[in-house]
Amino acid sequence: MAVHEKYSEIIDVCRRFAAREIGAAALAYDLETDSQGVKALWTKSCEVGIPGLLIPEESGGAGQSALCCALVLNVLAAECAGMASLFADHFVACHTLIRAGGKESERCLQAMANPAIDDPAIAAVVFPSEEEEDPVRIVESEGKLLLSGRTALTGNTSLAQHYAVFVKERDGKITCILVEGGTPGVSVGEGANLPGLKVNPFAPVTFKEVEIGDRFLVTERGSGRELMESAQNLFFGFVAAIAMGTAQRAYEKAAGYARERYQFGTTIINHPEIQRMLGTMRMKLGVGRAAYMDVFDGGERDAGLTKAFCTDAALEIAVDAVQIHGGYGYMHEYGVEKIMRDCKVLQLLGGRNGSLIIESIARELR
Amino acid sequence: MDHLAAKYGLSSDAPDLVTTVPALGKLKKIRPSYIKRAESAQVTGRRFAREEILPRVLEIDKECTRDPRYFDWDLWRKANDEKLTVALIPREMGGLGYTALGATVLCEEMTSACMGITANILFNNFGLLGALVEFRTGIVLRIIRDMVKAQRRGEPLFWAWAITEPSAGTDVEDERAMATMRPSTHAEKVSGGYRINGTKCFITNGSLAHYVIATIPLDRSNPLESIATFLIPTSSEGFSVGKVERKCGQKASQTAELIFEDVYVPEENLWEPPGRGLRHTREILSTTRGFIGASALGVARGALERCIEYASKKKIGNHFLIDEDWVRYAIADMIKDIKTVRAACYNFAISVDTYHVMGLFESLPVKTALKMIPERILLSEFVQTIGGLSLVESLAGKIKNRMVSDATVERFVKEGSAVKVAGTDLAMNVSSRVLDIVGLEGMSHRYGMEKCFRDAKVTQIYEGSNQACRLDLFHQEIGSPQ
Ligand SMILES: Cc1cc2nc3c(=O)[nH]c(=O)nc-3n(C[C@H](O)[C@H](O)[C@H](O)COP(=O)(O)OP(=O)(O)OC[C@H]3O[C@@H](n4cnc5c(N)ncnc54)[C@H](O)[C@@H]3O)c2cc1C
Repeated sequence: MAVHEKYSEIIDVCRRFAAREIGAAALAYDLETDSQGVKALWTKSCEVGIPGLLIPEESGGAGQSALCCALVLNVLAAECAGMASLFADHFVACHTLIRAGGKESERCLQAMANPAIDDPAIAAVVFPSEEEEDPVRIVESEGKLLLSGRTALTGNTSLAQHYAVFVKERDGKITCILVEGGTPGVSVGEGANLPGLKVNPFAPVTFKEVEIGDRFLVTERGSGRELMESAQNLFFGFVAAIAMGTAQRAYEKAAGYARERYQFGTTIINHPEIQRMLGTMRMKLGVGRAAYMDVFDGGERDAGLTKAFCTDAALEIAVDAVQIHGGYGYMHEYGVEKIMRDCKVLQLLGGRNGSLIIESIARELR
Repeated sequence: MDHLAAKYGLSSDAPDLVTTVPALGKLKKIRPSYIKRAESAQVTGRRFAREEILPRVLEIDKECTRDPRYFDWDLWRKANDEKLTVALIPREMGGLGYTALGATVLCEEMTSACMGITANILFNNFGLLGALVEFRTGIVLRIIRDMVKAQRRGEPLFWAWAITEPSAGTDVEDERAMATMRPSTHAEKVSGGYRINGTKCFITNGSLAHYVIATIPLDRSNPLESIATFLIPTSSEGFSVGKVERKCGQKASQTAELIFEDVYVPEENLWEPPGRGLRHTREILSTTRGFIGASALGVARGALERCIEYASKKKIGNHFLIDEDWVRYAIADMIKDIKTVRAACYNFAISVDTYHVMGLFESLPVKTALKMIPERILLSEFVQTIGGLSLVESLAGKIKNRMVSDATVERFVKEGSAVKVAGTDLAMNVSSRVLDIVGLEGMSHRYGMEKCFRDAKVTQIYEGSNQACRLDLFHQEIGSPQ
């Protein structure tokens, strides 16, 4: 991919970091998440500048593009899609604060670009949900702005210090608010225990009359729709990049295993059916990779559809990779079934693919 | 709209065998007792699934994630009290006397709640299936007696069927493949018996088994012509259990590595002589592949039923999830697939009852004996001794071999493979698609659907990978290339 050679150095550094630090811990964290360990890994990742990748240089970050972030997520995901998903949530929150600007945003961005060693500043992003009984709302009481309600399952929760919260107001307009993790009234609910992306503490977040005050309004009230849509699209693009990264690893593992496993009188890569499976994986990887990069290259490509395509393809690839490993593929220590579980969760991040596909057309009719 | 009107499957205790496959209604008119027995299997299975398995399934899954050796003995005992552990043994001898159809329905009901737990309870019947292969009456009667006695004492008597080796999975199930197999086990003829060395892997119940039925070659360089089937008590010196695997799903069912170090097996435990081991394997596969298909069908059903329940209650804005058009299309599509595969599974089971080994229980000599002789005597040492007489064994063997010829076995491997691939692909597709519908929250452990997905994957791998099954299907239907 010649166009992206300018990122090759960063990507190589991140790839080496991921192989060294994330690869070693991924299977253990999949069994039992250890938030201290994850925070330590995050701090380590600062050495190669990952948390501040998107943050402008004047705020202390690397000022890289979203495409660069996506390419980095892609190589992180090769080692662990769950770890990559932590950074994706964080990048999207950063993007929101960068785009919105303002003093409070700036303060957070600086903290995130140069995090404290023992307690790194990690960000999360919350999108409105139609599925909660008590959706998040802004209410005014005695002249104060208060945030109340419960979010849908959100990533990064218990790790996060800063939440960029998009709220759907009663009139349908969108407002974005910055909420600090430790603020009274903010509590993280019980973890969802999803089948994959285990390091990411998905949970609902409850806001109980959280005082927000004017200075924490990231957007002016009711004017955040465009920002939210750009954040959502960015998230879709990132999820697609992660899906392709982890699926790429599933493919490599399967191809490697097929070259070694002897069955039916030969190494199984010589069986045309195995070649068909591997070839199909490669076909999907090629198209998926081109598609997600296109999202960031200012192409016209629909980010939601790209996420749907890439995550569906990733799951298919992972399922076949398990199959090629036979019984070994089903065992935790080989790390392929983990990829399959991770991909299953990636498919549902940011919304159901079935809905996104329909919405891509329905939206044009409104 | 009242979606709850459509309560069925796991969310209802009303039996629906004849309603779901109406052709069985016709059969019921012709052979009422046959269908009634299957209906009773459905009632028993569904009740056990709803009352005993469902309340504990998620906790057991969690416990087994922490410790792959965790086993819920309490639940197993409940199943044992209901004789589910001896479901295939004739009623006259102390079992439930389920036919293949009955057992299929029972599997489907129980796996709709949890396939791993079902494996702990029902897959033990492998012991009997293994013994039925040669139909050596002495062995069959002894095994039935041991199983029934253990059941009555409330004690486990576990069987494992060990064919897979670290270096050979597909290769131990297929003639063309076995010719080039690189064995990890070896049996050596010694005075009075055999000495066995090597490792078997991924053996269901291997860590709990009292007996292992294993295929092992005498000549490593010529496995096809030297592979034999042994019955190995796990109390034998030199036998040990290696690691118990940490798996993606079906965690309640233990999968273990078995290690043989100079294990001595007496001559009488040679079930199949060298060169006949693969035939033994194929005969077991000729029935079990169909059962795996039906069990996987149960997994698919369980996933879909949970999804319907969830989607009927999940509000999105001002409507329910199940009211979304694409969700309805998807659910309809899955119901269509489940109906089709279920008909195929029952068709397979009825064929096994009619043309395969289960027909033996319906054959005149066996039926008469079961009717005339009291249970006390059927289970006695005396009858077992008579059954072990070579005259009786060879007579019984003849009857059985006429019924289950080599051609029958290969035909059923083919039919079973078709059902196995259909059922297991269904389980994988449905359990995955269901998660696409319910979304991130619905995918949480507590709703049980993601577990169906994790459980489903292995069904495409074991009992002959779906690739191996497709190869069998092609070769038996179209013929082998030269
Ligand atoms: C949970 C679990 C429980 C099990 N329980 C038991 C048990 O109780 N007893 C027992 O004996 N075994 C058991 N097994 C083992 C199981 O039967 C094997 O895993 C299975 O037969 C596949 O063998 P393998 O794993 O060695 O894969 P391989 O045979 O090594 O196959 C690897 C891949 O290559 C493919 N392949 C092989 N040959 C060809 C070909 N010619 N063309 C195209 N593709 C090909 C296979 O389909 C597979 O995708 C269990 C396995 C699991 C995971």
